[in-house]
Amino acid sequence: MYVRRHKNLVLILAREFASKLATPMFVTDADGKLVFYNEPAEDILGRSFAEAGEMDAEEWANLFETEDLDGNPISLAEMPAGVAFVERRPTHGTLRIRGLDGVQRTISVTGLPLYAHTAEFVGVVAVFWEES
Amino acid sequence: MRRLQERLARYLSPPLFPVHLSDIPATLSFHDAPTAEWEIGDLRIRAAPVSHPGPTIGYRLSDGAHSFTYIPDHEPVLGTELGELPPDWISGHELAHHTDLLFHDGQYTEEEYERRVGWGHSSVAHAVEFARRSDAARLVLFHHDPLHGDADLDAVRGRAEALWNGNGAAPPTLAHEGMELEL
Repeated sequence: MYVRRHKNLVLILAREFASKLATPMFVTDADGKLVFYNEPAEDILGRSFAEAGEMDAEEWANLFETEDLDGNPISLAEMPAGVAFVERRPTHGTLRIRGLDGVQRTISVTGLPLYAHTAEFVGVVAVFWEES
Repeated sequence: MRRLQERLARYLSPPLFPVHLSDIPATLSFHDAPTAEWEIGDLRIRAAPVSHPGPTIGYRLSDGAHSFTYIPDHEPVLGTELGELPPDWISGHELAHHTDLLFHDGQYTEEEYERRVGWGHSSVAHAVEFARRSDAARLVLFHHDPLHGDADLDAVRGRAEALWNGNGAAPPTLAHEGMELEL
């Protein structure tokens, strides 16, 4: 039987924070699994979180057909949220994604690693917005 | 994250207090709560961070047959409806799930809570809903508001009983000095 793990308190607070923001934001756990994104993010990612559900790192990294501004595909490790996850450091970048509604958008993303204790990495938050 | 000793040393130092922690004539031992379960005698103890300003933890004690969960300082949701959250997203749920006895923060009436959102404590409705979502068998409300007199506390208990609908379980009660409970 699949049992959902209880979320770390830092992730719970990050979700509550995100749910109050008009700024698009998503949250991953320590395994890189996308565990939440807020309503403003739904407009950019093209599908509600309730419909999309949780997804593993490789799944969300591939799902949005992410590419750089020259049109070259970029891997999870090159995305700002991926850098925060893989290298455990904050980073910022501009890239293109194709939302689940099929629309390609240029977005700027800031990814931040979350630590509950100095050595306890618990996940990543990524704040992003669509470039006009 | 500062260790317990560092936190206590801050309070026991000028200008907050004239005597330093290191001046106390005793052999002091400080034990930060481990992140993994540990044992004291026949009891297994688990601690986990819960939602409250500043680092705060709740406890679950179990002897294998019965369990007791102690979360005296807790605001389980902030501006969200507790009933809307999946259990794995509820602060403290892992400690209270199917516990036999839950001691939980129930400081405010629902009206009082409206003016104290973010202070780190629960309304009576939060406490009852948290106990229900956790499938706790019994709820004892704790962390009474220092401004509440006996009449206020009676009203809190009455409201908790009205909200409980605990599927035949004993209705919530209020913790008080000298209280003894058997599991």
